[in-house]
Amino acid sequence: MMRTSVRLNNLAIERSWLHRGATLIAGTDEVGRGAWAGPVVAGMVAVPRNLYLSLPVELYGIDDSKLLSPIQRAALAPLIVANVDAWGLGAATSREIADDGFGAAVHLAIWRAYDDLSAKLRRAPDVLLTDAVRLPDSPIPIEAHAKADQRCLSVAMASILAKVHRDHLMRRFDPVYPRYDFANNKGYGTRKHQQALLDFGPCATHRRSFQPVMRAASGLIPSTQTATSPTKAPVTSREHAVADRDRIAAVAGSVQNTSGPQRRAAL
Amino acid sequence: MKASQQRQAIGRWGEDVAARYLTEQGYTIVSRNYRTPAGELDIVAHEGDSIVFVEVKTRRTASFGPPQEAVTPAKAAHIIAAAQHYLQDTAQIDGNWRIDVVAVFGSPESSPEITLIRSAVEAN
Repeated sequence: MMRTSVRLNNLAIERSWLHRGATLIAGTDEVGRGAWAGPVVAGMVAVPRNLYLSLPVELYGIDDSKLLSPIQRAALAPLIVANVDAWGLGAATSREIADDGFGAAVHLAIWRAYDDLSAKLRRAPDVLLTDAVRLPDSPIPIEAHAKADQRCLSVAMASILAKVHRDHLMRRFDPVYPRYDFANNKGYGTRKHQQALLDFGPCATHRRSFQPVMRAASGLIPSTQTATSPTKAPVTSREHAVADRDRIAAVAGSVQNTSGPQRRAAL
Repeated sequence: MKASQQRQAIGRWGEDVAARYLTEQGYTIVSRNYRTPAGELDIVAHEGDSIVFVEVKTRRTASFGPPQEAVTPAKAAHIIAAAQHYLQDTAQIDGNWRIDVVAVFGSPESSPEITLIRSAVEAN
């Protein structure tokens, strides 16, 4: 008669920290790892102290923000903002990605989200849950889990805020750099984006440290033979393993020589 | 039907669905809509030797309207306070108790999706 198919994204990890005496538990996630252009954006969400009681039903099952449509994410973001204890956003630019390396830029974006959240609350979280990102020199305990967005509702909610915000930023980049179709591809590798890169070269918000952008910038026509690893790998293999959302884009980057970039699902 | 009445009707339906579901899960329903000075308890049930206070949250499928069913921190405090009233009223203050949430997603016209979250709430 009845199904029980609303999958529950557990707050068990958050709950265990409550039991250990923490009162402000935040989760964070970053988006835009695989993009060729635009910032990497981190979201951060502090879960309500009474856990599920304060959260509307729509938020119970959410896990992977990439599996939601832009319309669903846009509808969920205000629910998240209205019902969590606190939230924050942070970004690191493509210049910072090129200058500091991708991992450091991710840390920078997360710390900016942390500062945003902490400033709103006038206090820092007691613990921060991350999607496999280990933050060195953290002033608070970090608990990093692979696929944390599927295990920690706080991380899943943070991911949605980050994604909605990053999409918004990329739409704002579009009229500034109209050749690259940023409003639609959000900086990720699409065929159109690839062609624009080859035709016009990279713009200021392209990640010059990323392989497809480097190739376009140096005027090389990508081919299987000439495709060599850049001196600075765009993302480490470990990061690949944990960044599902970018695997599609990464794959698109590596197979473009034979079939052109794979079309990324509309963001 | 006014919007507020409609919402009440949906809430009532959700509580019916939740009560049936809990019974299937082995809970014994002790009381529904138990009123206390601190507010109402949707469902009071026994499971094993525990008293379970169940908050039912009902939502129409794919309705992303204003979060009218969202429980504010103030209301959350009421539920815990109401639970403590119940325990005092029934002289069971020393027993095991917890708060579960049942989420009912759907509408009377369709097969509802139900999620039971045991110990959904931190009472401290």
